[in-house]
Amino acid sequence: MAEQSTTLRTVLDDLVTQNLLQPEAQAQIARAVTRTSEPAPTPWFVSALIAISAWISVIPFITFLVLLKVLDSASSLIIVGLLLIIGTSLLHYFKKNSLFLKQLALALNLTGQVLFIVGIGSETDIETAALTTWFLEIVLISFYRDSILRFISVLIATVAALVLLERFSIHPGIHVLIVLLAVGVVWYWIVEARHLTDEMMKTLYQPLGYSFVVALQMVLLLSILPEVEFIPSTHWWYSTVGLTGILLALEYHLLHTNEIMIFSPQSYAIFAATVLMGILLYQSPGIIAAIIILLLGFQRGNRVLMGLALVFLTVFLSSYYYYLNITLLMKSITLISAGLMLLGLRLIMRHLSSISVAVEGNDPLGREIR
Amino acid sequence: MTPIHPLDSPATPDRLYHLARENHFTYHALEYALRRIGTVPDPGAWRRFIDNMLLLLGSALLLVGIIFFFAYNWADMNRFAKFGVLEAGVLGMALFASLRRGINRLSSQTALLAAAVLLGALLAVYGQVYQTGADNFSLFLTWAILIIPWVLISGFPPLWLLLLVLLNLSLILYWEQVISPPNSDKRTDLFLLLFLLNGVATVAWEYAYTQGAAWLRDHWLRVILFGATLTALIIPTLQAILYLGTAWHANPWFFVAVASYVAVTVLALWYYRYRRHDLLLLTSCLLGVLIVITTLVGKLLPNNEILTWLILALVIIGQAALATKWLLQTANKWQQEAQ
Repeated sequence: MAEQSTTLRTVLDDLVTQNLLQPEAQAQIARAVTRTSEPAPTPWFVSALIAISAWISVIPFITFLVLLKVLDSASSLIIVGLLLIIGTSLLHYFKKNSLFLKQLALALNLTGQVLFIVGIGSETDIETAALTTWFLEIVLISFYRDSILRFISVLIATVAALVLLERFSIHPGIHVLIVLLAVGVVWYWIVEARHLTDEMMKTLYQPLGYSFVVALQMVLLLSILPEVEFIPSTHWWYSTVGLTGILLALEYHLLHTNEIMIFSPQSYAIFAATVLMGILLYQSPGIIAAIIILLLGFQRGNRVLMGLALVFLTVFLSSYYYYLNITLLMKSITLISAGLMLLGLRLIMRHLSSISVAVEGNDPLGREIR
Repeated sequence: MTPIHPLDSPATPDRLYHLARENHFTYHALEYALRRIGTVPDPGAWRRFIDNMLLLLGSALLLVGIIFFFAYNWADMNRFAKFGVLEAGVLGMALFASLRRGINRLSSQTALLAAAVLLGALLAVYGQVYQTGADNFSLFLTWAILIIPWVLISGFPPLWLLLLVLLNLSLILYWEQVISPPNSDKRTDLFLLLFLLNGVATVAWEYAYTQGAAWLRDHWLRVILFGATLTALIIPTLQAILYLGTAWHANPWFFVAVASYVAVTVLALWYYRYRRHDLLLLTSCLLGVLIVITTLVGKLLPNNEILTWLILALVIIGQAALATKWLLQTANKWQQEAQ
């Protein structure tokens, strides 16, 4: 159980006892904490404020350029777009300390991206524009060291990937994209501590981690839009199979890291409930994805991830029942059954927990008591 | 006051992340430290989480299922059976809540929430069966009034939220169905009433919090209350700006809306900056200011000038930069004060 006000000294002493820290490192850490004027981390809602204002300002910027009559052809769109992208990248690189210039650079960079992509699309075709977008976003993620732009770049690249799949009629590819995004989400968050201590990943993992979460849910929103003919509704179970597999793997990992026996009744109950859920919700991969993110959020103590997961879980669950092609009466019976099943599962889990404590000498999750 | 030794400061996740970024911790050390302070949950925390999720999700599905069942208005079921099922549900849930070991347990509070929701279904069925002909607002208002005792004793934020939603719905429906003022397509007065309702709720929440009500630690309810209050003011303020110079003489509420918005924003910026530290609510305030000022500048500048659009874009970026700078400075200041 976590203590309310654990001090740094207590944690460091524990780390030394566990041979995870050299005793002499404590003095270094004390000096680091003393001299530290570590800035408070930028909260997600402040980043959201910056991103929203940057996107809003794209509209008047483009209108200004249109009225200026510098955007009269596809090639002018490409040239102006490229100039803005290169110029803002340089501005961002050389004027790191000016908040106004940084945000101006972000807004103009997004304006440049819109102009460049539209220009390529007008000059060639949509497929080329989507491929170019992919290349552009990879370059920007690598060189433009800004968390918000990196976050937005992954979302733009995801939309470009969807466009490519649609244009090349590789519709089943969306399931591969979903599974890849889910693997990315799990990888980014499950080894968060490793990323934080890695030189390359420490600045990359957070924007990419959050953007993979949002991109995954964004793509899965297609599964609840009735008018989308992109993917026949009968095929969404491909994604459900992939996501259920990932959820099972995640559960296995969580049980293992918490030193809970895989071959315990509780573990069997968790795996069985997951498979059953995958079968029952075979047309709703979004619910499975939201559960994956919820578990990751709780595992990392990350309220933003949990909040995102709960919002999407509500959306996917509501749409699941809304679009069920059955009468209201049958829907109500399905909902009541599902609710009773979950409450029953809760009772079973509690019962199994008390058995393992009383009979097997294990703690409530089957962990051996040492 | 003697300054505390740096190692005796609280081991917060942010501090541990910062030390890890500065290469003071290995991957395993960071993970262990996060687990030690409870950020990464232990098996006990996982058990409680799964237990709570199953309880909340199961109860939610069950309740929605029951509402759907009665919305279907099953013709084969006679009125007594309908009333019987619902009344048994309300009574059962209320008894369950009262017989458990204390109302502060999540299962008891969830049962009370279920009883409150089922009471609404009971009132709806009453209206259906007896064709009372009453306006919809009276259903929601009666429902709200009847659940007030449960809301007061529960100390459960979702029940308070249900009460607030019901009161808002009652007000909107009363305005639409009973008052229904002519030539009031802008609904400025309705928004002001909604502002008053949600504003009173926000102030009550803040007051109760300062009195030490432990269950009010749930931050999300405050965000919802404040968001509703601010939104109810921003909409008429934007209307007032868009109708600047044209419909102001015909709608005196515009002035009230603008004056209230300015007063509430200034007060909230002061309160959440100096009295109660809340960066999220400060950000919400500043987002509102950004929207309002941008709309005002857009309205004041001539539409047909090329430069208008450039100025508008720069105004947005400038405001966002100023807001971000102030918010980050505020966060740093609070951090220093806490050390």
